[in-house]
Amino acid sequence: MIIAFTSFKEKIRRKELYLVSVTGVLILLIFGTGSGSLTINGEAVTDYKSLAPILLIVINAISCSLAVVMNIGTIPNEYERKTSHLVWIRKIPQCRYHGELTAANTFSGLVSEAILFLALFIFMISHGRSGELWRLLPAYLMIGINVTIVSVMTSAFSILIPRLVSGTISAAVMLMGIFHSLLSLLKDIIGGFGGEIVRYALKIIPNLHGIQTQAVNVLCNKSIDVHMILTGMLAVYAFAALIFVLKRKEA
Amino acid sequence: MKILECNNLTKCYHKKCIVNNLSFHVNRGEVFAFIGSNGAGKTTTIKMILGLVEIDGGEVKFAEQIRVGYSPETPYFLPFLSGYEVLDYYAGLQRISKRERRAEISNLLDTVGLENTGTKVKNYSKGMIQRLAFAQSLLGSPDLLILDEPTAGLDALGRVEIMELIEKLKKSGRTIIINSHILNDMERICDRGILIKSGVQIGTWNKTDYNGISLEKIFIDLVGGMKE
Repeated sequence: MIIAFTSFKEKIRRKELYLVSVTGVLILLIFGTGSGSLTINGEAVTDYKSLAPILLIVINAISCSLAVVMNIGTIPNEYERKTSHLVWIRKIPQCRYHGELTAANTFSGLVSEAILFLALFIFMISHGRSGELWRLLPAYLMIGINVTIVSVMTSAFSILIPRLVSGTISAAVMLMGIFHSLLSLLKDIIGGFGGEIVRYALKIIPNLHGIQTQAVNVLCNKSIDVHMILTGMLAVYAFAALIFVLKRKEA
Repeated sequence: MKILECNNLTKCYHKKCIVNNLSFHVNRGEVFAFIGSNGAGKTTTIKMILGLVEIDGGEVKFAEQIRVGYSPETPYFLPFLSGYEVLDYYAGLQRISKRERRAEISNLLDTVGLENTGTKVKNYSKGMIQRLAFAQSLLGSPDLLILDEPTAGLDALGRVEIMELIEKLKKSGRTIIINSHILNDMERICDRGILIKSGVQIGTWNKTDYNGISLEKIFIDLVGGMKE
């Protein structure tokens, strides 16, 4: 894991990781601790059961977006600055090389997610939920599945597709995954060819919204759909398989 | 005894051949040169030997399972690492045991004239980075060393230092392939080589065959006598 470890050391030096994470924490704290106000349909949202899901949705969106940003350029960068040459000549298989770079990115994404979860931690304490803090761990792990899906997917796309195109595709898939439930609604509204496309997209786009809902359920003491979690893990497996299959012809 | 043999090496991009039917061999213990102007196809040839680009035609044959060290033309190392850490990283990739690593890295830093002071690569001069690239290419005592434009971008002093380093390696009996367009350097260091223009071999050069005639003159005569 020497490549992953060194790449992680490089990642944690990136200022944007902290900048986005800390900005996210501040925004979450402003709304979560009552310093700011959030109104839905003209009514102020202040209670735990209404605010916790919103905070988790925001954490999910920021973490997944960061995952795209961090993964988009890692593998292409290695080839552009030709650090890949000194790795290839040492007979390191591409699957190991790309796999370790992806692992480093995923881990960085999970670190930034952990920073964002600090806001949720403070929010729960400020709402007198200290006894339920343990719920943060399964919620963190579930959102972590989403972060891993987006990280591995973006890295897999970036092996062969140019950075701009792979970034656009990954961001689009991420957004459609986050708004998966909206797509389901759209499927019922739109008929004909458009409806078919949406139906097909729903089958191949990972349901990030579904997994996020399970994290919300854990936080709010509701039952969870294990099938959704398993499907998410299957998506991680499928994209990870791509990392091992896709190969560059030249270093 | 041949350590490397290349037959009819060819590489084309978009129907234009960068390297065209290049054939040569390198003997154990000699310093072999790829001589040519910028864009002649020297670096592409090296990349084909190393397996960094796909070969469109021909073959690369190594004598046996040999270890190859490579120093790239424009080396890039992670700026937040020290020279020692860079070498430790590449030694790790080569699965050199931790115990052996420490001694070998100290030795190599000493060989290339870098001190293990913990200075980060971002504070290195171009010459120091080139030396570090040399050091990483020597990890694991390779049988064949390939140096791509080792003096590129260096000032006069840096160039002299690097050439002295190559001479030191030559004296230790290493097989070296050097790619450069600086003919004086090539003439001083190399035993034999091929002259390349636009991906085509336009001649061979052997230090012992051309007593008194400079490599520069041979190169200009050959290039001048060939039309693009």
